[in-house]
Amino acid sequence: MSSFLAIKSPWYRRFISKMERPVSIAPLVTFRIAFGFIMFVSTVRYLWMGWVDTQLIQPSVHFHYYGFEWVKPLPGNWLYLVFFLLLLSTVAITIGAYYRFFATLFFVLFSYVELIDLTYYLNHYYFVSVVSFMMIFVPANRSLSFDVAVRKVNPLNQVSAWCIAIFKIQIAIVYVYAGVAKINYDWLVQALPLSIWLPAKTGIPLIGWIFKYQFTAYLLSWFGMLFDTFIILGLLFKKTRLPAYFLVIIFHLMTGILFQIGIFPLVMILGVAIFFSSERHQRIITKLETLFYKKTASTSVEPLQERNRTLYPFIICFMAFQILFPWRYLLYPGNVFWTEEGYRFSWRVMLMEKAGTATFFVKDGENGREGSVRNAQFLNPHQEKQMSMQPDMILQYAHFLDEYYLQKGMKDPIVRAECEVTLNGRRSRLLIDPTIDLSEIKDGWKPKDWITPFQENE
Amino acid sequence: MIKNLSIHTWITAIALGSILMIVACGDDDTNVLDDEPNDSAEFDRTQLLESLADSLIIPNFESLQGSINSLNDAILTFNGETTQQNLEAAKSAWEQAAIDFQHTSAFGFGPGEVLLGPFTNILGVFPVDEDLVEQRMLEDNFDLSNSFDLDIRGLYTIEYLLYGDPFSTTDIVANFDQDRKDYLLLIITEVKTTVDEIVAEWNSTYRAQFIVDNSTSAGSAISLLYNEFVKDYEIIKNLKIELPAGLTAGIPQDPTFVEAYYSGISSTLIEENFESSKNIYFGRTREGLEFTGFDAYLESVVGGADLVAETIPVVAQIDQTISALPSGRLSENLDDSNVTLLRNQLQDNTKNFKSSMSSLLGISITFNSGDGD
Repeated sequence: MSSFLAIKSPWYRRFISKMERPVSIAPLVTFRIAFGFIMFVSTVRYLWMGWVDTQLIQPSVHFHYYGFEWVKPLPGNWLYLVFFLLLLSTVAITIGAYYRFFATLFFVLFSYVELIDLTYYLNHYYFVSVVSFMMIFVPANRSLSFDVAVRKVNPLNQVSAWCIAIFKIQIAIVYVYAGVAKINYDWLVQALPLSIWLPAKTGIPLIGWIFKYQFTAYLLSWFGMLFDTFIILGLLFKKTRLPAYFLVIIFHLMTGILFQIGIFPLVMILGVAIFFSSERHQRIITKLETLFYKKTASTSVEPLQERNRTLYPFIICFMAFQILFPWRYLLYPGNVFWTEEGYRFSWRVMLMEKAGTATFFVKDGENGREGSVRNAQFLNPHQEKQMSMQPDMILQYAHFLDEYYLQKGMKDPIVRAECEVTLNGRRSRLLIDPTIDLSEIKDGWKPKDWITPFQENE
Repeated sequence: MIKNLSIHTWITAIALGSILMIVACGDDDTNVLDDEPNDSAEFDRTQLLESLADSLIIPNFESLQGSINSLNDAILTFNGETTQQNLEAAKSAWEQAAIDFQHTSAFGFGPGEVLLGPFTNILGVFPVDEDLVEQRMLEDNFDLSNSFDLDIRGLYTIEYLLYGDPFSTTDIVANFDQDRKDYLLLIITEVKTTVDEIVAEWNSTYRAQFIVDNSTSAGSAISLLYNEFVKDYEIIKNLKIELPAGLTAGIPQDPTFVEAYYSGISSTLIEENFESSKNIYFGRTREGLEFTGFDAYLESVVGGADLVAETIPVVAQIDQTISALPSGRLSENLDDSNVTLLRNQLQDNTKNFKSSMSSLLGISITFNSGDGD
């Protein structure tokens, strides 16, 4: 069947048999319900805030993800249909109806919306994409679901251990990588950017006063780093699990109060619950069952499990990718915070205070007349803000301008940009070479040599 | 630079190592961070808002209200008796109103936010669409309140009617027929009503609402004010200088694009507008009295003192260039080297007012623009 199974290594066989060890399906089922529910809330919130219109439909320019230039927003109000289908999918996932179809639909549509505009990239959207992708491959609908109760799909008591382990590993990657990323000079020794962010929060009721002390910034910087790096260890062991989960709740509530990060705290608080024992999850499920079912179906069935081994190589590669991809920044010269080469998809969350002012100049290649561009003519404020400090977005915008002025009849427009960027309170510096014709430069994986090297303050 | 980085790596490693050792040894003395005594005194944002409201925003709107009332009176007099003398009186009332307007144009939020957007859309749009104005004044039942055209109303349309084309020898007084009188009255009435309502709202309910919201999140008083301040500043560069001077990409020079094209006081208005930006930033009344401004706020935060120190000389350069602008009409001197120099200096300073400042103060740039992470 699979060449992977032909591997004779005893270590690999032990690994596979460990991953196939039958475990209770309960944690997976509560995870499915929680995930579906939060995504429902998240989708409703997105609609409620009017972001479909302001972020996706209104902007005349969209920034694309490298390699996904072909993703375009649907015309007119068709995007609302996508959001209706997303809502439908979240409901279906929550109740476990036509699960695999809707889990796939959710992954595809969510990722589609995410890929429309790079401006709105958030680590937690990426996390949702990754998790919803993994959800497709696990039988999370085989207990306490519409599929079992109505469609008479065979119920399961147990699943292979990997079906739950992959989510734990993914969550562990998020925390540990977020923690390791905090081990840097600015974060630990200067307490930056928290020293900048916290004094602006003194107006928060009850706890606001603590943010005026710089000591608080140091305390929270170190606590944040230690929390992210080691919380998974606490969650792994039975003895420490409950206090660790308590810390998880405190930590995420705190960040939720302090920063505008939407539903992310809720995602993590509920997501991390997968680390609890199957008995605990089973108790929740039994309660839910008595709420929604007359009979208790699951106890009467034989333990079964799915052994779809063709998936294994694929899953192993996927997890390996998740583990390795965030380290790609090591292959680039320079400071990753400054160049942002390898910054995204690496769980660098709330890690720096960066802002820029970008002025673009377009020169008519024929008559040599140069004029500047009013960014607000093309971009919304959010797009302008994100573009002004991220080299790949600056490049995309330059290419857009090149195209725009070419169509307006300018022969060979030369596009350059003066981008003054401040990082963690340092004085603003030029991010890129202000003399270079950006219209001639192509984006790619190679290091961007037109980025000005990062300078510490003298 | 690499040297620097490696020093930082070392410091980080040592700090990390020593803390972990302390934690591991279970030492009770965890006060290792206490030798960082830079506890910053809390900046009183309420005081900033109070002083901005009481020393700048409300007085400036009241000055504008006063000069709009004078303009209104002068127009009524002129309409009643179209003499050259009355026209001159109306013109000088207009100049004062246009100058006072510069000191309010950054306050297009709260009461300054009207049906058509910030009130500057009603008062301050230029260039005027002359043809459309001429057309509208001939329509018997023209309803200004139902029109969304911004370039047929406001102070600069009044200016067009009072001054006329600077290169035409047409006698304004002799040709000021009933249609022109009616249209002029229509426009000044809208301007007056708009400003009256803004002043009334600031003085009744909004002041209290404004100063109570001392957070920096999106939609807070500080963020509203700050964002309008930046927008207003950028308008000086983008629309009052760059666009008419042909320094905007793909758009050739056009003298009629300047602000106050008909009266020719463009440079004065630029000076007043920048004065207003400085007053907000440095906390100064129009009379020059000092109060708590954004500079004091900046000086209370990490890196802020450096930014203020960096901003002051650039602002001084801009002042100098503004005073060196050619004395005649800006529209006839757009190729003057000081015009380009002024644009460049304003651009140099944009980062100081925009990204560097919002970054240090933790002010959200926009309202309702989505989450961060």
